Amino acid sequence: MVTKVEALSDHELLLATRDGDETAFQELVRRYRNPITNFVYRMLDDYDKAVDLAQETFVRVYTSADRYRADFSFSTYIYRIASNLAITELRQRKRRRLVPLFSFFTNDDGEQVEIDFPDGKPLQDTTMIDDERRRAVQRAITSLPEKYRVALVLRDVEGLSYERITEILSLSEGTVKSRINRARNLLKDKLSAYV
Amino acid sequence: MSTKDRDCIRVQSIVDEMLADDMPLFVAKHITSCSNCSQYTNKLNGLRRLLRDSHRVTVPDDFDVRLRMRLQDRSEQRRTFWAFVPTPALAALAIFVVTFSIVYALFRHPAPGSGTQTTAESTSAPIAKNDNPAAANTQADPIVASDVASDIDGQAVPVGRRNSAGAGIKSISRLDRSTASTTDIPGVPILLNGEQVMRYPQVVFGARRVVPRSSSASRLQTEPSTF
Repeated sequence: MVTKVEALSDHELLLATRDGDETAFQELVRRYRNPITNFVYRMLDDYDKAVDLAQETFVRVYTSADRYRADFSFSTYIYRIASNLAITELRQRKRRRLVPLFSFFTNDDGEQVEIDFPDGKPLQDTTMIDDERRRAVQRAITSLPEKYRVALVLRDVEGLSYERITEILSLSEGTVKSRINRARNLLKDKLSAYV
Repeated sequence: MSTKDRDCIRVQSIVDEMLADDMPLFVAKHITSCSNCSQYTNKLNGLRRLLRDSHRVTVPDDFDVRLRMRLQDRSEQRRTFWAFVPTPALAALAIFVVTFSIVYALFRHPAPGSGTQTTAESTSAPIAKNDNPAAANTQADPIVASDVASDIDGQAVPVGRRNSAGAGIKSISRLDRSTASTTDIPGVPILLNGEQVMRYPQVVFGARRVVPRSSSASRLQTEPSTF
């Protein structure tokens, strides 16, 4: 009897992947490629790098399938890999001291302003508002400290439970709640115009 | 702390842990009657909606293809790594084994008539005497001492070292081989210094069992049956 991979659980799919079943791995990729990419994108605010790290996450899942232990759920496992990669990238960026392009531009008051290059597409009011809100949200998330950011994204963007987040970040539930609460308070201030 | 304050903390904790917007009945009742909790819940839900409904990125169309290529590259890198490490060691080992085999074979079985015999070869044991075949069996050349095989009639003798009678052995030292006549034919017993010796066949590396061609038939005729 041939079992359809869609009907298998994540754990069963990984076991099949370990046994060399390519279809099972494809199904895992199909299930998690968008959530993982979105999560990394929220962490880095860099789409190309987010796709790159999402792929690296799947490569690591594939190459270390033998070492997977069923202590945690697969989603915890893959989010942990992705969050570790994203945090490593953030730390590398901090060390490289990347200077954002808009930091060279200041307004009349001497404050740094972001430069927006003109877009050739016709603009509509709704599109502009959505774009502005999206940029504001992403900017606010990116401005959070790394330890608050990862907890908040996992909770409020990806919608994971506290229990899952404690497993992914290897922190106590109290620490996770505290970090999320602080992150929310910071975001409320930054996004007061949209909340 | 009053009961209302405790309720507020409890309700805010529940609202904080909720993943969806739907809330338990007692929380909803409390929120309608408590402005602080109502404000807290509205702000929190607004922020959550803002984050949750913000633009979600999706992967590009070629994500799977690129991932497959990446996995392939990674596996090739691994293969290259593992192939790189042992190859020189294996190659060196193979060269050493082949060289050693050739040198060992040349020293042990030099070409007949060649004048390149070394002094090392001259340290071999002398030829065993032929007049006592039984003793000759025990005085076999150390090189071939392990080459003991069962004879046709059950007698254990070193292989390839028979005397003309076919019963004993003849050990041929390398010295004798080097000093023997160059006209002798390998495999044919010859007389050297009053002793009968036999040169190894050239094409064989190592000892070779030499049984007189007529031995089986002649023995059947000459030797009495043990039965």
